[in-house]
Amino acid sequence: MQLVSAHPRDLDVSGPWLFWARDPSPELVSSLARLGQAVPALVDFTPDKPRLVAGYARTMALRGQKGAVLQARPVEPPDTQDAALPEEVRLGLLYLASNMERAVDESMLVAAGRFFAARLPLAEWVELAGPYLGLSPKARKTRDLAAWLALPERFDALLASGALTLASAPELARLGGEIEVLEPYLTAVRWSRNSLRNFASWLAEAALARGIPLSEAVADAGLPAALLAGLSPNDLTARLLSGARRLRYPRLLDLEERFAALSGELCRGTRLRILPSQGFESDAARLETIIGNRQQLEEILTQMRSIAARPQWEQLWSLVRDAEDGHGD
Amino acid sequence: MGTERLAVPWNLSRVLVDAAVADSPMARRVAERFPELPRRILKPDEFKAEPVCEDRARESVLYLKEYKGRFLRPCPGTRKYHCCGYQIIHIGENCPMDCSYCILKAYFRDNVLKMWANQEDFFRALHEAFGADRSRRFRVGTGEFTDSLALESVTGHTRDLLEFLGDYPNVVLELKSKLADISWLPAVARPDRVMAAWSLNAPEISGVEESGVSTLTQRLEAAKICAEAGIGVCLHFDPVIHFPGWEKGYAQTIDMIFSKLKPEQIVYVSLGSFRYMPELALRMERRGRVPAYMINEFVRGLDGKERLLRSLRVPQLRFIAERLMRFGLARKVYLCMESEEVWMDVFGYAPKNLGGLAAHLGALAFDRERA
Repeated sequence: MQLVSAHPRDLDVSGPWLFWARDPSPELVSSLARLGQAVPALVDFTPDKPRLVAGYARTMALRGQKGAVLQARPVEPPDTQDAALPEEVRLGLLYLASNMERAVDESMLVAAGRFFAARLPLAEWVELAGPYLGLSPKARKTRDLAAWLALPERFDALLASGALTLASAPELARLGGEIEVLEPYLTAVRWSRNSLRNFASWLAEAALARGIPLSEAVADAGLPAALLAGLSPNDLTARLLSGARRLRYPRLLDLEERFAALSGELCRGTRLRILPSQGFESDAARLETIIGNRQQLEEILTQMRSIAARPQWEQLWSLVRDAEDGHGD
Repeated sequence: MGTERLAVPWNLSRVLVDAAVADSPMARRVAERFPELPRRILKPDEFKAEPVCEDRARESVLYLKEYKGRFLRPCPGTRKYHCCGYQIIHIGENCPMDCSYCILKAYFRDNVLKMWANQEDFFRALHEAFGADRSRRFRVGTGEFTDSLALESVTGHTRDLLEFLGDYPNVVLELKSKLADISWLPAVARPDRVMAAWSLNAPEISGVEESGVSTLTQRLEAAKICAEAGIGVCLHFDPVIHFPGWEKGYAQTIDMIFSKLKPEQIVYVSLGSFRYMPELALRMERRGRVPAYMINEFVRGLDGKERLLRSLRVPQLRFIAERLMRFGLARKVYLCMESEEVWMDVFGYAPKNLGGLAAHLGALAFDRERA
């Protein structure tokens, strides 16, 4: 196919299929100035105005060079197989094919997803564009992407900034319209998939169990105050998670805190640690230490003798019993 | 059998039969009872490739299988908690009822109702176990991997089993169900070696979370008929579910029990707090229906299952146990899969004080007059 020269300013560069368009880097500008255009752009020469199909950065860079022309390969008419596709979808696929070597990050995946999802049902566009995007119909990434596309578009910026990950999409989508309630917290810190899943599900479940709206659960968990406390990102994440967990598991957290306080008192001044049984299923506790030599062993034995006399043991062993819920008969 | 045509239960849409058991009494009986049900004979290993819809509301399949596993096996309890020591007569898998809490949903990969139709192998295995030493007593039941009676009207397996066990006085059989089916009663040779058992729950749970079951009243009416026929009745509050107003709900069911039954007609009552394998929650999430009672303070138990936090479940178990015992069921109430600590907190004694749970329940099952 012969190349055609076009003036870069004559091209229409507003096509929605240019979903990964980015401004030219200084390196590209300098390379074009020094070596010329090594790779042609892809242009659809319509009777009205030629439309750029791929090569946005090159075109924009050449627009900045006085008298520069763009070398372009014209788009061929669709073959019979692609003729039935919406024109923009066909151009979107050409754009993908032209960008095949680019590493596709989650933000780019969503941008492509939004373009195709607006034009074709999921199964159809994944079949067409999936090979270019590393998507297969049953892959988890495809499910995550489908969930993300159900979110408002403004969340795409959080993905681009790294505050959220695509894997969090199913959890976010599950919140439905209530996602707005959590938005200030989603933007405040970076969320790993697991942390976000816990945060969102604890709050949603606590709201459900209490029969209250999510906004009330958020307030009950003390989250608005945490946002205003001027905490570091790590401390803020920890505070938000512990607030949500406390609301979801109030009795369990109460047990954990009382156990921690008692075991702290028991082990004060020693190198011993006391751990509760799994889920407080047993009254028995585990005593833990590290011994590197005989002298340390003697020290630990002395420490154990000293803590054995402390009165908190009985409280520790009856912790769950003392925390039992009362009930009316 | 009369000429009256039986209605196909459970919305069964077709029957699959392993070729090896196509001519078995069970397969013949199903074909005679329901000639209108499409039936397909499967070659060995063909079942795996058979397309079956996962949604039983759309397609309900009965599979009469040549089973090659163990027909008699211990209850899959864990050593971390006290198991009642009951042994399972394995008759089939899956249940046509649809109870939201059912652990079978996590146990089995498909929804196909399976019954073991190689009855010759089945009865041979049972004879080898029960006949080897007739002084050894067995407390057995069929309601572990399926409801004991759900498919009785289709396969008649309970009647066959009861006729077989007539020759084994060292075996007491517990039939556990949520149905008020007592069609098997005439096949009982020794009422003192059969126990009719029903799962019970609070009316709020039974009414909402159980589907395709008989009502609590129907179950207790059936229990009364069995008791009057000299058959011991067992009751299972399993799962005990923590929901707002549970005290009133469980008290109501207990009052219903004693409006129909006398304490001496009851062999034992079990209490099992709701517990589930994590897979169950995932399955429910996929079905888009996580019941409200699952949103509570569950912790991972020593057996890997999720259990209600001890400080919540002990008062509930104690409440129900005390109320049952107040009606005269002292020492007839036991806990299913609980630790010694929970036993002590609920009853003030542990299974060892009863001589071990399995031995205690065995004595209640076999020596009812002394209980």
